[in-house]
Amino acid sequence: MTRGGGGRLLAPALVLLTVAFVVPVAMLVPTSVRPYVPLVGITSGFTARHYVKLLTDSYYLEIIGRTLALGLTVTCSTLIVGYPLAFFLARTSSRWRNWLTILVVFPLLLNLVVRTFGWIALLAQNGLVNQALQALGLVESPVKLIFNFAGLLIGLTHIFLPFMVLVLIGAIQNIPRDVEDAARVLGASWGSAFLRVTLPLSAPGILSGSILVFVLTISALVTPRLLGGPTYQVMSTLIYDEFLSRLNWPAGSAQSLLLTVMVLALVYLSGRLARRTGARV
Amino acid sequence: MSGAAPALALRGLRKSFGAVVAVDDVSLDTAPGEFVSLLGPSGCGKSTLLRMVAGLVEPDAGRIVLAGEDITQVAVHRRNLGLVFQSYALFPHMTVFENVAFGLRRRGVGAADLAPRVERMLELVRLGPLGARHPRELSGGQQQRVALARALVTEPRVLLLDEPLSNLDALLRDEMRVELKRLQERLGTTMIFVTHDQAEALILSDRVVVMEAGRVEQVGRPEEVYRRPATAFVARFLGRANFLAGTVAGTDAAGTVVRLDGGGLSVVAAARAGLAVGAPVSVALRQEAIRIESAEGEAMPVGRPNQFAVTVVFHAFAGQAHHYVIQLAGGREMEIAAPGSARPLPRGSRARVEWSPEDVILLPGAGPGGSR
Repeated sequence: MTRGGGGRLLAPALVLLTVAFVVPVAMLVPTSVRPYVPLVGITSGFTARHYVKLLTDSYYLEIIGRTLALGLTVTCSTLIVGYPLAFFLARTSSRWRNWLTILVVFPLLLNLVVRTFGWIALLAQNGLVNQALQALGLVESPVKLIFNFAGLLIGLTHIFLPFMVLVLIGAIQNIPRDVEDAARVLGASWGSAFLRVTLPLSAPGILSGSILVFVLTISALVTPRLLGGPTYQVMSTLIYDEFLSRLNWPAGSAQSLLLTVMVLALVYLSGRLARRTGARV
Repeated sequence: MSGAAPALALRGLRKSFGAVVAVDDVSLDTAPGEFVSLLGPSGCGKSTLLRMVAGLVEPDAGRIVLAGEDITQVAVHRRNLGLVFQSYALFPHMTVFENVAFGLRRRGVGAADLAPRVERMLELVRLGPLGARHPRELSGGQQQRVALARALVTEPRVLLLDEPLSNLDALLRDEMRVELKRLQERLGTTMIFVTHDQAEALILSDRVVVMEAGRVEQVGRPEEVYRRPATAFVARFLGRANFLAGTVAGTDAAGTVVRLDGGGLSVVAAARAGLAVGAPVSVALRQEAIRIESAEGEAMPVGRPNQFAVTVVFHAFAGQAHHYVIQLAGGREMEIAAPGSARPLPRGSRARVEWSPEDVILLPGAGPGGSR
């Protein structure tokens, strides 16, 4: 294919990317350096105080740290829950296979708000989970499972699990069975063959699934808002409040840019990591 | 075969997948150091049989005995066998060295011993300087040599090869055949080689096992299965043959006389016991067993058995051979492969053909009609 042909094929996507992403993000930059005076609004001039505050104030640092920690734990839990499931679905010859795959995807077809309210009903102070735990005598008093880290972790893991599983199924299906069989004939037990051959060969899938879930988690808004309540903030809910409740657009712009930079940095680093491991795979 | 205990003995192996019987009651003995080919069309069960020996497929019935030890229930990774795949199945995330070292590491071979053994094996397959490369940086032939080295370095009791040359181009395949045979002679490893390529099986093997529909059709030395096929399937699968249906008419000085169906022609075969007069038989004639010359030629003394006047209806030159289709009196057609060095006979010309009674293959039963 000629370079011109490639350019023409890429053009629609590039136009969309420019209009829907590059331009809006670029427009945040001038706003983020304007002073904001309460009760007056955005004034003219230049200030870096929104950035300074964001990166030094312990309140903001805690939210940033919490957002990253949430991204990391949700990624790990979807990976731990999702890998065995994806492995089973990729390898089974059961006639139920298609139905099971649909079952994995099914939550995606339900409205996000409905699913989250479902979790509220389950996780609340006197919700189903706490009632069951108390009835079984496992806990004395109700466990706090909502409006905190645990609630967000549970809710987001559930919502993003299908993404992880779908990416992993593809990656595991790409590993030739012969290669695993070769390892076993050469003297590796099933576990050893899995650790030394199957798992390393599914690394590209683990990496892309993890990035996808991490990015989706740190930018998720509806679930953290509903399961975190008005006070347990993550970056996306903070930005939402800054823009729409406090009307402090400059601070909101600075926070949005920081989140965007974090995501882009992650995607860039993982791309480099993929190239380095990809060179071997 | 007799005397030494078999390196590998298969007893009544059976495997079905659903309603399909893949391997149906197969028994086979392999002598130590022997090169045995499992030859058959795709789907004949030869690969399933090999995978049962490797332990990757569990047999429904039967036993696998390796050097006197019943390994039917032994786990794959404890069988100490080598297996080479058609797809090579190298570990793409490891270097050539690590690929070859994999089996040794699983057996707990110490670091001091490991490197020399891997390097010696890489030398043996002529990949000495490539240990640090990754498989994707190698050509197909080199990758298959890595797979061979990886399977042989652990000194397996039996090496199983599942169509290892089928993914290589023709020239490389010829080269690898020679290399594989030399390697086998040098190391003395017992090898079971699965292939659908009859030439490959004949060239490489000490014995050929011809399989069809999950069953063994014939076991024998290459000349044996080629010259004296036990069934019409074997005659058809090994080499190109013409099939003529007929009945045994009697025996004369030259041998057994077979009267062909649908015409007054008779064919004389080397005398063969066990065929009653009037029994239906199928006559198979190898294309290259039939000699042809022009009607005016004098190379064939008149009066010998199996001489016929024919018409050439098709001719094509294929380098090593001239391919002819000729028509006998009565319209029956046969295919002939004559030496490529001979003068070609043009299409439509009159010619004479003959063949020796020794070259006539007699198969009991009506057999498959028509020619091929």
